[in-house]
Amino acid sequence: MTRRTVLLPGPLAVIPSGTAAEQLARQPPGPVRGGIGAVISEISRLGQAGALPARIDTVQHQLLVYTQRHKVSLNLTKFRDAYRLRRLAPLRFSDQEALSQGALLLHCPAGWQGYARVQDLPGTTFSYWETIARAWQAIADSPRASALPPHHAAYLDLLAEVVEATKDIEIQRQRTEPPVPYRRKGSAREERHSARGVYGFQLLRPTSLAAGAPVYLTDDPGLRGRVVRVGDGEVAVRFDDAIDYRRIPAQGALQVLPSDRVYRAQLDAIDVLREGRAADPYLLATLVDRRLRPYQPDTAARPRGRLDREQLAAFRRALTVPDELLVLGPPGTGKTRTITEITAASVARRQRVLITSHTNRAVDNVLERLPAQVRAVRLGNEDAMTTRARELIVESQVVSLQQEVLAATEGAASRLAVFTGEDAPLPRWRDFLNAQVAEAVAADGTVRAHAAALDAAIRRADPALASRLAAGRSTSDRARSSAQSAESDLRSARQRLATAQAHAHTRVLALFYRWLARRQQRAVSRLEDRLPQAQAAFCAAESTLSELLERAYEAAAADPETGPIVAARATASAARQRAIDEAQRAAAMVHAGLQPVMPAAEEAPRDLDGLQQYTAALSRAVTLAAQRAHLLSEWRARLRDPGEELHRELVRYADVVAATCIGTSTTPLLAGLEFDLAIVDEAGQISTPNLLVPLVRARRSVLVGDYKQLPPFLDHEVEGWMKSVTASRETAPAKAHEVEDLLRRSAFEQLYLSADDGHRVMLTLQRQMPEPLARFVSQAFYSSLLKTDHPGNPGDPIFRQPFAMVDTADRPAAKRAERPAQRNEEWGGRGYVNEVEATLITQLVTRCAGWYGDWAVIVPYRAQAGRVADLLTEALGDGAVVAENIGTVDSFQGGERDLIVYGFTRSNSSGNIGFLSELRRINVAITRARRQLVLVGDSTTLSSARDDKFASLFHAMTAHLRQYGDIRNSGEIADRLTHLAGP
Amino acid sequence: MTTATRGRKVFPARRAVEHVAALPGVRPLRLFPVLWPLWQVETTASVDDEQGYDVIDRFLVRALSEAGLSEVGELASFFGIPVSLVQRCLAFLSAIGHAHVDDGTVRLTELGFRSAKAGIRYQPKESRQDVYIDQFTARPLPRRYYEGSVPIFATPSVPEDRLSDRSRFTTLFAATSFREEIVRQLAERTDRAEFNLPSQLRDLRVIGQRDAFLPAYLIETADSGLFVYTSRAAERDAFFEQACRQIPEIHYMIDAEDRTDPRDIWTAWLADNHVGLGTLRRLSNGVWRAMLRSDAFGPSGKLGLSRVGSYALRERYFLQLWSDDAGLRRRAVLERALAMTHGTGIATKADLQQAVTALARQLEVAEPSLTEIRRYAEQHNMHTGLARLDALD
Repeated sequence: MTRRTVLLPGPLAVIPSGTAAEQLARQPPGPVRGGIGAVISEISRLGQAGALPARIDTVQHQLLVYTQRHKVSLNLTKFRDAYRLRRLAPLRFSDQEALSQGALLLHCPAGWQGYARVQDLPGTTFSYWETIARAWQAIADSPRASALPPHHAAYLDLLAEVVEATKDIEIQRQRTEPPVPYRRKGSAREERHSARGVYGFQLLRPTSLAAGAPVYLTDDPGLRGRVVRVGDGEVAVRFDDAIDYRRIPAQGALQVLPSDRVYRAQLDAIDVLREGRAADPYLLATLVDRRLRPYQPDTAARPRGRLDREQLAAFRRALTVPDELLVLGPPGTGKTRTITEITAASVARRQRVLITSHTNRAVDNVLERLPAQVRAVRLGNEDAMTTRARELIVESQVVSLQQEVLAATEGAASRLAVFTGEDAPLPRWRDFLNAQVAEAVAADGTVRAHAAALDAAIRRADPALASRLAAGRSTSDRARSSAQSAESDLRSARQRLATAQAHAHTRVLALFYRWLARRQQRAVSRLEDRLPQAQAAFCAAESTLSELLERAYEAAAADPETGPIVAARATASAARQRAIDEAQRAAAMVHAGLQPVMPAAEEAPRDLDGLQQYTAALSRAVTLAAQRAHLLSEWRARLRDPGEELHRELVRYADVVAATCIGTSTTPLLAGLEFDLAIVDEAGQISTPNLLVPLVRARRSVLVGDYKQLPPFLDHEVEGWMKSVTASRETAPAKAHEVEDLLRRSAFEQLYLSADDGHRVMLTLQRQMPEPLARFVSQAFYSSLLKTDHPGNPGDPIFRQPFAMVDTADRPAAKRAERPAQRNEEWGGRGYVNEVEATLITQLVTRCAGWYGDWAVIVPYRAQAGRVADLLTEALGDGAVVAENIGTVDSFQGGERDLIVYGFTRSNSSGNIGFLSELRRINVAITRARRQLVLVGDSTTLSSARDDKFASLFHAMTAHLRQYGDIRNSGEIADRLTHLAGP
Repeated sequence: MTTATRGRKVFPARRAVEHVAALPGVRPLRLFPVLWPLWQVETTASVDDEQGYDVIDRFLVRALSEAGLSEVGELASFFGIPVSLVQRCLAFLSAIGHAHVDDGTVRLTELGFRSAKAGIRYQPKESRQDVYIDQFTARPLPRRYYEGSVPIFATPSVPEDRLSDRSRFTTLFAATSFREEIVRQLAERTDRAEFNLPSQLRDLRVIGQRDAFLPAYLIETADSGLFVYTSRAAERDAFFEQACRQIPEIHYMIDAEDRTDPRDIWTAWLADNHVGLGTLRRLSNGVWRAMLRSDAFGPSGKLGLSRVGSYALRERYFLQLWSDDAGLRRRAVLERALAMTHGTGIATKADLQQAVTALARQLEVAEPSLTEIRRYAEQHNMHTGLARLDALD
């Protein structure tokens, strides 16, 4: 705030100097009425209202106060208890400008008073100079209020600049890709999961198109899709919509679609941060200022399965961390298990979790291990998912929901069918029932009327009979009511008995309840005895009454006056009975119809009142059933074609959403959804712009990764751009450093290194690699913190230790040397092939792979990988298996094998090791081994490498191998292998 | 690298002068560009957002309101969907205040019933909106100031990329403090919709407040009058003129500004700008006019053609640039007419005609018809202007 109110409680004094009065007189547009006195009164008035603007001129050491017309300069008196008014100047626009940069509003409830001379001061006034000066200083110190602190804005600008540069490079590259001509189109074998068309195109020439690339048809750019498979001279494309096959030209070309969706996603995330709309308002502060908030882990939380000590620590912290938790997980330390536990526990706490990573495989890994009761949805490109993950995509879930619903509601739908539709039987029965009851009621009315008339006539004609009738009626009534009460007493007694009996078995006071039960039993028996008597009494009374009535009516019938009434009454009575019978029939029909859907109570009572109530209840039930029938049939119809809304709903009701980082932004199904927790796997490989995309949607997150393994992928052209920026003289060194940092290091690495211990956990118990290997990896990369729990590797036919090396230094230099490759590597650099190593590797794999469940060969250069693949295919015959198990480090992310053979490939007299200088790649390669690692290389070249860091790593490695591993000469190994070949 | 601010440029000072000069009987003297201080108060309110139902929620709600179902288990088996799905849907409905779930029994709330009946899922949402209040008079700004095209800045300075001329704005200072009850009183007014607070907003609360600055031009006239122009429209701003009447400081400050003889200023200006020879004349309404040679304007001259009849500003004084060549002036009208097609406030051909009439009067030439303007555009290959002209209603 550039404005502050200051309270000055006591009276202030001002002594105008002579010059001030003169100035006032001289100033345009004329003397102020009342002179200086008026000015001082105005100061006082403004001060009392708390609206006196003031500034301190630090240079002149003056207090400046502002009235409506003047700027008043005040100097402290010698004893600092009052001010001298030295100067008055008319208020100008520049003064207001200064005030808007920073101003105090003085509140002086006791007012300002003018005094002619210092001697006139009463001694009770104050100047409050220190107070004012302090407040002024506070304004000067406070940062300018702005929406975003400048260094945050600068960070976001830098990020945006990097993203834009990367985007421009990529788009440019995509534009210059030549079109891929095809000569035939056809339907493709791919699995379909939705209505989108999948078609195959036979190519004229081999292509560099890769699976996953977005393409469009050159002749009809509206037809776009994604490559799902490349092979055998054919490319299969899954189109974005259900397209008309006829529209595809019979011959034409496919072209890569320059797609900036990734970059748009990143730029959107940056905008969200800029506008303060991220789910975690402190996210930007965390990223830029590395500020993390203190908190307590949930020490009572228990995972479902077993976790080791650090996994448990990570688990407990993840449940309560308010911002970011960083988990460093070296290979084999159980990251996936930890992530799964955290997810399950968070879901149990009713949180919505986002599982995300750089690759689809990592996302699916976690997804497949989630407990069954967690509702999860997988979003993204279904061709890149595992089979199980595909079952969880929204479309599949909709399909299975449809099937479930239609099957489960089939029965109910048919049972309810009787309630709806044009000719629905039950509503008609209901209407009939109502009509009959109405008739019965009407007839009943007639009967009563006639009966009343008849009674009156009998009383007139034969009073004695009338009184006997009355007595009979009352007896009957009494008997009825006592029979009814006996019935209800019995009912409640039976109920109490049942309760007591139930409690006698289950409650603590079983004894008491058993005694109670016995008492109740006796009561029930008594009542059971009494009931028949009461009922019999009632019957008797009724029959006596009936006899009397008979006789009375007989007599009346004979009488010509009452005869007609009797006849009419009889007719009405008969009509009533008929109606009641019909009604009961109808009620039975309705009851039967309702029974399967809505069990209605009891049977129809026989008396009219009871029947009326019963009918009303049945009627309501039928209406309700009809509404339910209607609702159910609409539901079933809707489920047959649910539309996008159901997709959105299923995502909204999911506990876990799994998608890749970019996938979280590019799907409309996540619009508006925020997550309580985001768990990011492989965080060490994710660049900051990519990481922001999911992170801005989550209130807090757990980043799991290993920055000692592969860093974020840095495209070589982007690297070139980066170098040009850092080398340019126009770039400030600080900014150059930041750009490089942003591109080379993941946010995970930056945050992990600057986090406090409360926000980071390192998992240290690895179960994947054999101990001798793990120990080296731990020393070389993980500050010796890794511990191992591994059964070891008994029984390798050749090597004595799980960590072994075959040294080609025993061969002549010329033979063992490298050879530059024909074509360049992916990243544009030169490739190399090493024939000796390739041969050795082939022999090793051919002979030894049988001892192991699976194997892989990893080499730094694609060219060498190709050479080994050729040799191995010759030896093994199965090209497909070979292709899947040979490659560079990048194609082996996270995939472990029992046997890993790593060939260094470089062998020359100058100590050039080129690509090997990226030590983290070596870390990734050698830590893929589950049981046996065999290195193949030329120790002479490698130990004299020009790159210092590599050289010292290699020295440490060989020292370790000599002590704990098995380092052998290539000649000896070649002999052993030949022996093994045998018969 | 600074982030470019988005938004329109502040409308140039000379347009304000043009408008004032055209008013009959008015003698404008000086122009003061100021940044008027406002409070930008961030408020939050509840509003019922109307959304469509999806699938499951719609049917569950209908089952609760029409079909007499109320147990979670019942609902699940009726619809044939898993209990967990029903539970999560009900959790969502509870979260938006449509239902209560109590130990397996579900009840719709009043909001839930209302939504079910209307078939619209009303979701109470938090709506954030800013309210602008004049710091001097504590009066709220009417709704027309909230249009995106009105530039309002968060700091007391206009970013360079938003300036359309070289005006230097000074910031005004109001010695007042913000009080929340200003907004509370506003919320209670029945006409509050006129101040950008629609009636659908409920429970309005203030959550924050900061300064904001509105660029305005104060034009001092001979009889101590003060006209105010803001970027909102090319006409006088009644709201701020009324405010000025209540702020004596402004008048005092204007009086306190040094006066110079315009003749001195303009002579110097002519010399500095190398526009060739020019004579200074004072018009009957007090406006100074410089008669320049025709070749001072247009592609070969120092000044663009559209500056003919318009104003130059220096030190708060303004000077009309003129040429005796009526043909030149007419061409200037045609040029500016085409430029107007993308201005604010010109949506129809009638609007344009009106503006062109005023302009022609200002430049003392006969007003051109729209066909003439069109022909001019065609002749000079001004395609974009032509397109926009045709696009007007």
